[in-house]
Amino acid sequence: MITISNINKSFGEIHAVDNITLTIEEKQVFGLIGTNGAGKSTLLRMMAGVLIPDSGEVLIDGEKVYDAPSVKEKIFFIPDEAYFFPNATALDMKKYYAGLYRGFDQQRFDKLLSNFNLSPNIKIASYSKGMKKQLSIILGIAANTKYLYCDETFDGLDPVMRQAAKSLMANDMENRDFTPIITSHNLRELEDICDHVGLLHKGGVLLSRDIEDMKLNLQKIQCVFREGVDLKGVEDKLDILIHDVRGSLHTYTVRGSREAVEAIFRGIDTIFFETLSLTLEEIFISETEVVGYDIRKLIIG
Amino acid sequence: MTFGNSSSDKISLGSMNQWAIAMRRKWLLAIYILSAIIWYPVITVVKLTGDINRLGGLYPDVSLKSVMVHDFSSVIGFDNLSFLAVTLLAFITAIQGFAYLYRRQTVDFYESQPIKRSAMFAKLYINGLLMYLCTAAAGYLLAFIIARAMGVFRLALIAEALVEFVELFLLFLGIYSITVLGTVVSGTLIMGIMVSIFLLSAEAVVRGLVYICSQTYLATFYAAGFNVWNAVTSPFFTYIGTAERLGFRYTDDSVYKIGSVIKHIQEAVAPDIRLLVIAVIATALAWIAYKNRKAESAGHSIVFPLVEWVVKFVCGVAACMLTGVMMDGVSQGAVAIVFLGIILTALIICAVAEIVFESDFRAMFRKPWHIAVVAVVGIGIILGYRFDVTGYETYIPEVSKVESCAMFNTYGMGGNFYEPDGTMLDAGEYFEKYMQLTDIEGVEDIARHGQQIKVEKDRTYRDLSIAHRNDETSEQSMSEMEYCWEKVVMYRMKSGKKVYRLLTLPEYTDPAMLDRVTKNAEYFMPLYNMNDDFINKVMETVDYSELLFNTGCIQQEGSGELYKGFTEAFKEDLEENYCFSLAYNSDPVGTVFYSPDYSVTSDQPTYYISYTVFPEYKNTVKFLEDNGLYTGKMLPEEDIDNITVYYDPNVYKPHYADQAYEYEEVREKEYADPEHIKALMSAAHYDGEEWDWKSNNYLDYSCEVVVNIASHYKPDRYGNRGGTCTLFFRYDKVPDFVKKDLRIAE
Repeated sequence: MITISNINKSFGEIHAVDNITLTIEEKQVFGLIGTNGAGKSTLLRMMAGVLIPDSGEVLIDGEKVYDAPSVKEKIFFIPDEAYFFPNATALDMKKYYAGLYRGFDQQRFDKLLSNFNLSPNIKIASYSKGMKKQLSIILGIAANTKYLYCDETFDGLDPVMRQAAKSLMANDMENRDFTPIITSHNLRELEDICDHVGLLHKGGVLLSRDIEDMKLNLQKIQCVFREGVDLKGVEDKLDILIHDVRGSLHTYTVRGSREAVEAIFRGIDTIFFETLSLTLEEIFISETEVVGYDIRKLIIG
Repeated sequence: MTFGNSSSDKISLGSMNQWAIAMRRKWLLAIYILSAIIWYPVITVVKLTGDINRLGGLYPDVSLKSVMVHDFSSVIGFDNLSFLAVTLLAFITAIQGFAYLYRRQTVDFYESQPIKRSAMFAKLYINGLLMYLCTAAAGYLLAFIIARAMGVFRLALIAEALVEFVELFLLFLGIYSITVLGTVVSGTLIMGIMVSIFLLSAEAVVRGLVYICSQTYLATFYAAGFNVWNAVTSPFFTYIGTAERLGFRYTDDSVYKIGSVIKHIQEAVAPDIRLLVIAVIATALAWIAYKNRKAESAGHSIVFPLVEWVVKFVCGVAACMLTGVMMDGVSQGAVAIVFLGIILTALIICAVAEIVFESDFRAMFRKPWHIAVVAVVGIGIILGYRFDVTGYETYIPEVSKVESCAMFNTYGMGGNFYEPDGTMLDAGEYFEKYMQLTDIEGVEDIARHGQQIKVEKDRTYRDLSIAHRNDETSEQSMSEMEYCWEKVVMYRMKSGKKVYRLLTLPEYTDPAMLDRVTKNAEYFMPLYNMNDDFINKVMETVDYSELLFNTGCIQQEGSGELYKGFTEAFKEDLEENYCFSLAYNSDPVGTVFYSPDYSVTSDQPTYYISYTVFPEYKNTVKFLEDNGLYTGKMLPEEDIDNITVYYDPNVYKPHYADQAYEYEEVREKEYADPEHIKALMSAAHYDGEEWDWKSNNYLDYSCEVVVNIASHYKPDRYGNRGGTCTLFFRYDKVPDFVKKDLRIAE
């Protein structure tokens, strides 16, 4: 488990991370969402032991990470711009990381490299940007570390490759103690992979929730009321986050369990009502609007 | 670069990791390997093959071997420019090794990996050293194998190579460690290079500026006593100093002998230890900086504000000092102009520094108080020098703190000076080493007087220069100042420090004060190179030598075997007679020259030593007489055909700017009658350039007495007969008939 307690980090006059407290549970995909400059990379670099927080602490499984090889051995960090040695090939990098991480699975690396159609012997410098990201992910997966930090690694990957990479992570999560932490500035990039999402804005955490919890507790109902229905009375019974009306069609985003909300609607004289599934984007719009932010302006590309 | 994991059982911190790191620096490794191959084995082959092709068959085998040994020594020893390559390699290696700190991409890469920062620093640091050590050692080894195969091998060559190897390694270590420090405290490549160059040269630059300021403002500053390049924090200059001591003398007098190598190693120990200490300190500071350096510093020009301030302050103050000195000269001492120049310099340097640090032109006046501090310190230093706030000019050490002193001429003394082992030293070096005056109070009395006069004279000279800056009379006015002796006094302090001051001693200086110090064996023995060890060594090893007695006209030649006997007689005379008053008042009768020549069978230097003989030196005169070298003061009249006296009225003629200069023809008169010849020979003296304590007015250079020696006069050793010699009258003692004949005014 990664425990982040009241950490702050400033670069000169820029307050990049502002008193963040966060817990990242094991065996879940943790997504960190935020605009450029929200502090995602800074947070991840502190979690990787690259930066020292000005105050507060980052604990990986209860231990401080900065300058602690035994802790860093549990982490593989893929920065937004991954570094490869000049003139190195994929095999060179494999050899290098195999010397650093005890659990590095060389056979798996070779297999994955082949699956991703990456040539092991040509220079990485001649790879495309996407291929370099794939190679980083393969190295990260093959390193067999407990935590894999991906800083905007999925941004810009084509859908097929993204899906393949996500499958890899899902597979590893099933088979071993593996916790990927993925940052992105685009919510849609993380939608189908994250279990838990933290939303960063201006160095602080706007919210951090399990997606399933959010989904379970947020319902989107579309309905058409019959004439004469006491709308005020109905709405008083609901914990409404968003209410949209188009003609006679009402769309409510409300807080509460599906059963409870549907029970309320069943007791109202409607022409029809149905419960729709919420996208991650809608969940975030709902949640952040409550606290006064327009998420569309922040992270939805 | 590869770093192992200390907790991993798959990875060790040993050689494999170092090899892996080296493999990540392939281009650098390639440069090392190429340098080592070209510098040692390839040049060895080229030189030795060249020797064989050029000299084989022409020289006997022994001589050819000797040339080959010498040439091989120039490859593996001090006599080459390998230190330049080593300096460059150390600089590049340090920058390249730690340049990853300048990019966020590489910082993220390395700093997120499971390795202790201390281990990362150590491995990177050591990798640079190993790269140098391994390739250089391999180069040396190959060179020796090749040389051995070509028949060139001596134990002393190995010793020489080892000494050079250690010296070059220490040079590498020093440059490398300081550059690592410069790299680690910087945030960008260009700043890393600039800060490293600053660290490597700052002390030498500051010393240079102190030297310039001292020479400009301090009348009693003795420039030769201040070694500008003796910068402790500059390994480059430390190496040059050591190499100069070891190398340039090494091949002169004691070629390829183990004993001399050992002796020279002893000479190198102190600077080597100093270099090692500097390297250790630089490494420790680099590690502290590395440890405290934050990853986010990548891309920022300077990581630590303190370094930024130090660089700006030192550069600013140094530039202000230079400006101050230059403006002072240009403005002829106008204080307002000097101040203005310094303030402008402080402004420009601080502004440029801020622009460089911030990479932003708008930042130029970001810290105005820095400009103020730099300007104030710059002005303070220049004022401090100008008004001698430290009391430098009047400083006389406490007697109890002085071990011994030396006093010698600023322009050196006549003749040559030698170490007991025969190594030639210049006069300053010799007296600094061998003149050990223990009458500290006596020397300090002279120094007190001499320093005061020196300061006054310089002030007068400066005032005259300013007053007559557009006036050609200035030179004349200054030349009319009374004659003085320029001396250096050196105090060997008990603390080990040496203190130097320049003195000006006018002719009116109390003779008793000068006699007190000069009538002492501690003064006159070194003055005449009277060192028994040296004399004995010369007598033992010399192949051929001559002892000559020269009066200006006559030169009597004797065997060099007389040298020891001569020195004994001369020593007795020195003991009995020598003092300032004698040297000042007495007219020398001639000079004895001793010149042993080793050049016939070896490459030992040829000595040349001179001894002024005064008529009061009875023992010397008797010794010369007994051995047929002393023929009286001058030539017998019958051996002179005639004497021509030339009078040049222009020699001492004043030259005033407001008066047209009129050149007067040189007048001459030939005297052939015995009476005049006798009178002239009695009044004329020869000009011994090596004389000490003689006044500038001792001889009158406006009158040249040219003696035409008769052709029947005995031939010299080359068979030449006759010829001429030139003599001079003493000042104000030109014979009346000459004055009359040549119309010489009183």
